[in-house]
Amino acid sequence: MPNLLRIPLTLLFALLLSIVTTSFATGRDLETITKEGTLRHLGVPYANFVTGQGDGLSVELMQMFAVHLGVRYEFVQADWGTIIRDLVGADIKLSDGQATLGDAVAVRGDIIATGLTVIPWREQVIDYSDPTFPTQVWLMAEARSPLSPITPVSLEADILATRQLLTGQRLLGMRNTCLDPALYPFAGDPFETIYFTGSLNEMMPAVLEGKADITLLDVPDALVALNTWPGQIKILGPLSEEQQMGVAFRKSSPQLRRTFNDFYRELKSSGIYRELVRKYYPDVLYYYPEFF
Amino acid sequence: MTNNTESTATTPDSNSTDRRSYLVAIILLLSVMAVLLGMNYHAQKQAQLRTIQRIQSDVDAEAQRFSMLINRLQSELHQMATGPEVSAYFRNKALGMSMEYGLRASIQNLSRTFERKFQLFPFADGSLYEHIRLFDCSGKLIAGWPELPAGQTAGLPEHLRRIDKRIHNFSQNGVLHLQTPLGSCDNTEAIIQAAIPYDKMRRHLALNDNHLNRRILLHHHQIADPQIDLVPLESLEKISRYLSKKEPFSLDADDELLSRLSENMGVSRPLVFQSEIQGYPLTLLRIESATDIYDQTASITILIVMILFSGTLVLLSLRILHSATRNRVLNQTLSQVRENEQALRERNREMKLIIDGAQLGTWTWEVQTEKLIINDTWARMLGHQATDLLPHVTTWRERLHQDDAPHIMAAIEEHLAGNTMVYTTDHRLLHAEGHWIWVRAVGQVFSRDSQGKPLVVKGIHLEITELKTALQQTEQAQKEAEAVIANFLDSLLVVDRNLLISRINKATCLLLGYSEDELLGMPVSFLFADSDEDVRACFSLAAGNNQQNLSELRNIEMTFRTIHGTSLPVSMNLARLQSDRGETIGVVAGAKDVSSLKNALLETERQNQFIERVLNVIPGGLLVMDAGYRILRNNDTYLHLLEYWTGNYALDQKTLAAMIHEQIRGRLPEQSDGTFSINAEDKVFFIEYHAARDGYDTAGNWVVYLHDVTSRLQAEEARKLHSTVLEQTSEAVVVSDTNGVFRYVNRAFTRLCGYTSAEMIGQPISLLKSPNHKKSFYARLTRNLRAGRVWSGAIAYCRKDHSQFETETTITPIRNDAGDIIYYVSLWRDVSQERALQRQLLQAQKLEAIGQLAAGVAHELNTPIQYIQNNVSFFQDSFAEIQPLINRMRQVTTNPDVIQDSAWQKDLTRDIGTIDLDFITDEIPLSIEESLQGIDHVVRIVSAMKEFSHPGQSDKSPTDVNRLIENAVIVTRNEWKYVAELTTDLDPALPLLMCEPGSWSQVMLNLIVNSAHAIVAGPAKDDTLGTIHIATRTQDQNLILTVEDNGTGIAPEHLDRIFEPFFTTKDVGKGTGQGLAIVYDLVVNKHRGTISCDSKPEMGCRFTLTIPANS
Repeated sequence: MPNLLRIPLTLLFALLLSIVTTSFATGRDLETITKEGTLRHLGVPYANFVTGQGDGLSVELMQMFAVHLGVRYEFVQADWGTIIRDLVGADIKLSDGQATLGDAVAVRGDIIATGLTVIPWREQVIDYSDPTFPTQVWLMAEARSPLSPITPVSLEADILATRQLLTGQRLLGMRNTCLDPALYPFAGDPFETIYFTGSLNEMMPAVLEGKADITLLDVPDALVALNTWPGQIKILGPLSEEQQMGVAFRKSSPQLRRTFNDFYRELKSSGIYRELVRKYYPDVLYYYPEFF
Repeated sequence: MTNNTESTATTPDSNSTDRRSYLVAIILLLSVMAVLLGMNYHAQKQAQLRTIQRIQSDVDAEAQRFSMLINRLQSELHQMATGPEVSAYFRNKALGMSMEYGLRASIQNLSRTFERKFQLFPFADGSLYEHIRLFDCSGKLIAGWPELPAGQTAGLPEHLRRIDKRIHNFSQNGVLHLQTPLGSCDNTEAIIQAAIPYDKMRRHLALNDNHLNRRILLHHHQIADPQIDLVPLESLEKISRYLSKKEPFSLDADDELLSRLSENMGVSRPLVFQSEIQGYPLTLLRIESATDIYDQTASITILIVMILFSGTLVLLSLRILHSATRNRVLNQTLSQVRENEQALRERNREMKLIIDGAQLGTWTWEVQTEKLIINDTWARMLGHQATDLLPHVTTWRERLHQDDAPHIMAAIEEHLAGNTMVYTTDHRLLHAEGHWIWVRAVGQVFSRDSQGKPLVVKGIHLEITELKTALQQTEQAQKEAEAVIANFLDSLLVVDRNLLISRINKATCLLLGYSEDELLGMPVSFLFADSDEDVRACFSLAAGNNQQNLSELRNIEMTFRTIHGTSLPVSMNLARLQSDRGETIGVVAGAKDVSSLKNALLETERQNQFIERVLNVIPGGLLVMDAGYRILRNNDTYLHLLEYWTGNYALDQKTLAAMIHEQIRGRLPEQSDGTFSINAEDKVFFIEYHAARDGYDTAGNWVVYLHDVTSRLQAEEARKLHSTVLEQTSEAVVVSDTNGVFRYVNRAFTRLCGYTSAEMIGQPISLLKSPNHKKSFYARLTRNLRAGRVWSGAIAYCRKDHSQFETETTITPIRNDAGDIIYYVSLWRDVSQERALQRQLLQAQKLEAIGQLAAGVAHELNTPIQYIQNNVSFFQDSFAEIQPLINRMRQVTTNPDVIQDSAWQKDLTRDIGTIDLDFITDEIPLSIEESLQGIDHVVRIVSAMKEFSHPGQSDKSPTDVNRLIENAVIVTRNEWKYVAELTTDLDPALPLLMCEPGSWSQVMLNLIVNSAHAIVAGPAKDDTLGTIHIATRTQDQNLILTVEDNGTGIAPEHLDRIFEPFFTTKDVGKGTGQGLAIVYDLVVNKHRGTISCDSKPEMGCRFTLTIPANS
């Protein structure tokens, strides 16, 4: 084959492949899932949402949802840096709080349920279900830290008091998650940000090992940490307004999202969801009794 | 009547006895009744006591179960107090965490922990616990389960806050509150409190029986459970007095508590059981009804029943006793009559038994009527049935033997006349079968009339035929004995108790010369020449006073004395004569003249001694064994053999004898001949035996002959081993005599030569001679052998199929005791294959060398061929160039005038002008010469190669060693010319060497190549070539060949191994390790020469070969 023809043909093939892949990625809504018989659940081992041992609040929720759909459940492990890309089938480009889709990649899952906090830029590329879990970002420190927990007054005053504790500290955060300091108003405060590259579950141990002075943790993770290291850590105060977590869908899967919301409301009204939450996050029920 | 009279006379005594019996019986019965009543009372008391003990035991067990349950609950409470959840709460609080941010989680965690504890004791209506709560030091509730409804708060009871914040268990409203403080001794931070209703505890302990409402739990002497307002406080204080006694107590009848308990618990006479709950100020009370425990009604009922039963029993007993007394008299009379009847029946039965057992025939003779009544036995005695015989006296009379009738009848008449009390006669009666039987008759008159005439006579007949026959036989025997004694051939005499001769037979009288009358009544000692004491001692049997109390003596040797005074030795047997009563009445003695027998015995004894001596000198052991293989006799030699064996083989003689006996016994009778071995500790010896049975010996005795065959067997074994070794050895063994004739060949020989052993024995050894050897060879061989020397060397022989084979042969002369050579033993080892392999190996190595050299040789050939080719090309070109000129000149030969032709001359001039004829004429001769030299060079190389590699010349031939060296130099040129300068210094006067040229070419090649390789491996020499120098010399009839180089030399540690086959220090693939081994084999083994190697590491090496010129 003449070399002159080889390059255009290769490009043509790549283009066709890209078209096919993209169409597959965007077209896998409820109908396709039901037809193919598998619900692929994207999750990251994190707190008690996905324990990594085959269970967790999100895992059980998705397993119930798969049963509800009458399809087979399949867990697809992802990481925080790529989990949205694995859902939407395209690279995500962030710029000044604006997220856009980049190059097409393979779609690995149909639904994200892993304690995913609702953040504005995420909403630009994915759709969230009804809120499934309340959360907030707290500032955590080692028990021996000279920083003292704030005295609660009101949420607004509490956030300001907590921000004052940040001064001069080495703060541990994580990109592409709700624990990225850059997402919050205190980003400009005088502290040093250390971005952690491990998993969310390893952030508190990193502080205990002296890799940072303080760390951000969301409420579910902080409550788990309190039980895991009793007396070794302390909660200094809040750094964000109350947030919410939800299950994420491709924007091209409105039917799936709608079906899940119906399913979730039914689960919640029956009290099953509350018992599920009690199983994995019993303390949350007392912090946010009105949510459940 | 007599008996009735006696009974009447004893009646008053009986009545008195009966009255006493009545009295005793009544007293006994009343005593029994009293004892029964007493036992009943005691049993009632014991039952009440056991009931109290059982209830107390139950109460103790319940108290213990309460104690264990409260202990466990207290332990759970303590576990919670020290658990991580409580600890985490206080630590988080201490860290300053607020309820909003973190502390609430700890509280929820605490609540969940309490909840889990709740679930440890599940109950139908919740949990055993009523609640579990955590209070802070101010009494404020921190956490608890169940959670309080919204808006409700809880705190420590006020009175506890007042008293103490530390541990205090208390009861309130039927609920036990267990508490555990948290914190140090002086500073209580918090209290964990668990509330457990007593009611649930009872249910948990499964105490829900019918006594449920009869239990009271006191906490610090206050009623904690049940929740009833029983009494005022002072009544409880009264109870406290009883509590200190720690035993069941009852309350006074007028006690107020009694009335309240009766009212609330339905207990009329309360009996209170108590037990403390260990470890806690709790007391368990159980209220029981004393009325139930001490049930008097039942006891009285049982007592009345017992009295009535006992009275009835007494009356019945008296009635029975009275009736028994009346019956006793009647029974006594009746039993007397029965006893008489019984005695009569027994007597009749006894008589019948006697009559039947003695087979007595009975008869009754009514004299007046002549009627004769007989029994069955009488009739059977005569072979009849009783019914067959006429009941008349003629029945007896007709059967009476005529000879017996007179005295029978006389005896009967005598008795009937009343002259005898009974009559007894023996007489014969005719049997139905015709023979006579003897009967003994006993009769008596039983009744007579008033005139004295006999009316009835009764009697018995007893058959005595056997008795009579026995008496007759005895008489006959006596007569026969008399005749035997009188006519006994040997001496026979009878002496009485006084040792006087009472009987003597004719033979004795004849022997001694006396008449019978002369000897009867004489003392028995008169007959013997022995002393009187001896005779009396011998005949002491007659006196019955022999000490041994023997009844007979046998083979007593004594000596008769004849009437003529001569002595006769006799052997006597004596036997005691006894009367029927066992008394000794004399001795009967039989004597036999044994004088001739004695002589015969003496002769036999002499023969036996002779045989014994003969047997003892036999050189082997003899054993005589009976049919059961028991050893009866053995000769002395056997004993000597045993001693020899035990001495040589360290065996116990008894054990050895037993082993030998066992071996022989195990083999007989199947193996009457054979050999067996006896294993000593480390040795074995062999015994051969021959056993035989005497056919005339009815006892079946065996005679076994034994002798030691160990030496013989060992010798045979050794011979067998030698023979086996000779036969099975892989080398051929030949024995020939001095005339060269085969006397023995082994199997290897037959395999090697193809002849059988039978074909070869007796044949001359020259049959196998090979034509390869000359006569002189055999002559030298023969001379050596005859000189008595051992000869070794290689000899070729011919097989049966005329093929030849090579052997390494060793021939050894064998001499006899006189030192003369009688045989030659030859050992042949077939080396044909080995030699062939050697030749193949040599050729392979040579070819290998050639292969290695091929490239070099090709290169050597290439150079001359190259310029030969160039020269030939030059010739070709030159020839083409001068071809026109030649053609032009040919025209002159055909037409000489053409020379004159100017055109021809012009053309010639032109042709000559175009050709560099001078050059051609100058160069062609040089080229030819050069080509010839090249061709010569090629020829020389090819010739050298041909000579070098030709395998055909395996035979030795006179060889110019110098030429071999030159060839080798040429052939190996490519190996050394780039690394060394090779110089030769060859002695032109070197004598020819008788050798295999091919092998020597190989030697030279190996040495030169080794040197070249040593130079390559040696130190670099700044572009200067190494040196290889080869020289030959003649010295002392030896050829000296040296090959010297200045290469790397040989390491000292390798010098000892360089001639070993396959030893090489070259890299793998570059050397076979065969080169110097071949050199060594050729020079040292084949030519009896020597090789020396002078080597200096990194300096060089020199091989010096010294070869005998005449080798």
